[in-house]
Amino acid sequence: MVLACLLSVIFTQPVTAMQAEAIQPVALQPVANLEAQDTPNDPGGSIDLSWELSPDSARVRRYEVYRAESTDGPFEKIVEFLIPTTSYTDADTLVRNKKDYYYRVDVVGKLGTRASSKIAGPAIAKPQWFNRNRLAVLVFALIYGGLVILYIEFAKRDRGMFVRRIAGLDAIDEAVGRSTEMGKPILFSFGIGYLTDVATLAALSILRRVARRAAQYETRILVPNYDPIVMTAAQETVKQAFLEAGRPDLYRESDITFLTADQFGYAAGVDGIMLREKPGTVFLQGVFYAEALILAETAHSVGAIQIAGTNMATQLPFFIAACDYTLIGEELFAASAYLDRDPQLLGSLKSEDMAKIITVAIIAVVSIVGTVGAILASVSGKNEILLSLGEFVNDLFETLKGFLTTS
Amino acid sequence: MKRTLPLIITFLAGVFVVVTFFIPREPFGSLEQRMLVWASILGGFTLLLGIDSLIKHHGRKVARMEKDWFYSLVTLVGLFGTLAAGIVTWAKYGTPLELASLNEIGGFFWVYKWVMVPLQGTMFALLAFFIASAAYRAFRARTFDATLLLVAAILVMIGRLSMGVIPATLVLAIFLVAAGIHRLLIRKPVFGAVLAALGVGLGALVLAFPQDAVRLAPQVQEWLMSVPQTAARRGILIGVTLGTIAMSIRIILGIERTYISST
Repeated sequence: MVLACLLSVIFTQPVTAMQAEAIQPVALQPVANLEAQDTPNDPGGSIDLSWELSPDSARVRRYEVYRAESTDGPFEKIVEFLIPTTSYTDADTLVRNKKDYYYRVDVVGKLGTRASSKIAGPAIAKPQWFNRNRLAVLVFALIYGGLVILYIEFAKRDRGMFVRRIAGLDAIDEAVGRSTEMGKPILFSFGIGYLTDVATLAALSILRRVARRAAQYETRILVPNYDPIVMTAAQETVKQAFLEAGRPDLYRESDITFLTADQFGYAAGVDGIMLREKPGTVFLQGVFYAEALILAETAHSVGAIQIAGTNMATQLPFFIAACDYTLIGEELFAASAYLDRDPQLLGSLKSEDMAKIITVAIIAVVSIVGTVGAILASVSGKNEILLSLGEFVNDLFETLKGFLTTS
Repeated sequence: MKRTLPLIITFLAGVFVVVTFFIPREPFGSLEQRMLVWASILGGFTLLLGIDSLIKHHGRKVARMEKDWFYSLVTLVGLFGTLAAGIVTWAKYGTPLELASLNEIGGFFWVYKWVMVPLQGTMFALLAFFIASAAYRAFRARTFDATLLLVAAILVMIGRLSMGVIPATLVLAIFLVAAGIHRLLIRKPVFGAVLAALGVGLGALVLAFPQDAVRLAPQVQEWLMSVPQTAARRGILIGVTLGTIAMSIRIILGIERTYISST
């Protein structure tokens, strides 16, 4: 008997809370501070929930979220989480605007022990008229729009507005002339963009200039297309340019054709045209992806002078490496203003420069504030003045960051 | 009127989309998405325009036996053959997108898997060779900019090559020395000497401090990619974004009209 008691004392381990629950259910503490409120900046039909984890979260098997239309219920389970979670957005299609909803979060333990939170609510879903997260965009858009209009007015008065030289655009006439001298056609590709892409629209203005010169020099211009709408716009543009040059008789609709709406099919098709027709000049203007280098290198292999331009930052290095001239990003958008020298268009170019100065200034200010805040936080030690200054600067940095970060 | 009406429609549509960007409330909030759906539906119908252009262009070439008419014939056979495969699969299974047709000769998916995909893959694979030829031309150290590009590329390559930092550096050092000697032989002594010295220096450094080279090379590569490269890219992106907004404002206000015919 004594031996049995001794053995039981030696081999019995202390019982942990988990093991205790395995033997018999132990009460859990519920989640705390459950809050339910309308989701901000949304079209309605959505309520944000947030809570603090239960102090017994290590023993919680799952969290269950319940919703009801009155405090008395009935509460309906809307979601459950198997991992510790502290927030949920109830965007269920059943959630209606301007209606009261009540929420409860239950924690469930191993043996089904359960603890319910206090009921939160009423929460009312409401649609908003203005997305406050986009306030910075609105402010910037208004400033920028104002600058564009202001500089257009300036440009109307000052007709000698200076615009820096853009080599790629200056080379257009020379490139068309080269094709003419060689007796070879010109090939113009928009890449695989659609008419909804601003880069394609910018490329159309370059096509117009190229086509006008081609008509004057009686040179053939080939425009294989990826998108039928772009093809139609290109046909209209070339036709118009030939008309302006006084040579509508030279316009051939069959030279501006649809190839295919497949990326590499298009690349293969344009490559084929280059190899068969051997153009003297190749314009690659618009939206390009992986086919950019395939087209540029094929054009180089047939001895064509190449003028490329795109807004796709990932393809620009390929064009710069492979082409004779490249319009880098914004230069493509400046084409119509640069070529037409229209004061209204030139004015909008000037406003771009001013917007760039503002953008760079904002970046510099936020970077300096953030850096100063970080330095003050690390060197302040126990100095009260430095601590409060660091806190102020860091708060300012967070406010600026919050304002400028858009969703 | 032919010119004014599109400008009015463009202005109204542009302003409307801009305004809805700031209003989450329905029906404004989902309007942009809805307009994109309209654009997709219209885009589907405009494909008919493309097919019309394709058939007219290649049909004429075949009918008149113009130069390279055989390629046009292949295009037309491909177009109508795929259409026929789709119709046959549709008739058999009730949909042209039936996976069972993957295993039947002439089935729609069979054409896709055994014709389209290999052809697309072939074109994409060509990119590797084109990158090599473009890099060869771009990295020729003829100017200061090109030399800078060459040095940066060498450092990035050393940091990323899977063969290891030391063998990669030695191979590149040998190439640099060879390029330098070539330059010397074609009477370009300054560039030749610089390149050869760069190669010898690089090789000597990596042999003298192999452990430091292994440690530093990935760090240098990482710095080049995350600092100068990212800075330049962001500069371009800011320019592109501002250019896009300016162009959009010009289009909405009707200042930019090059996309509209004036006839």
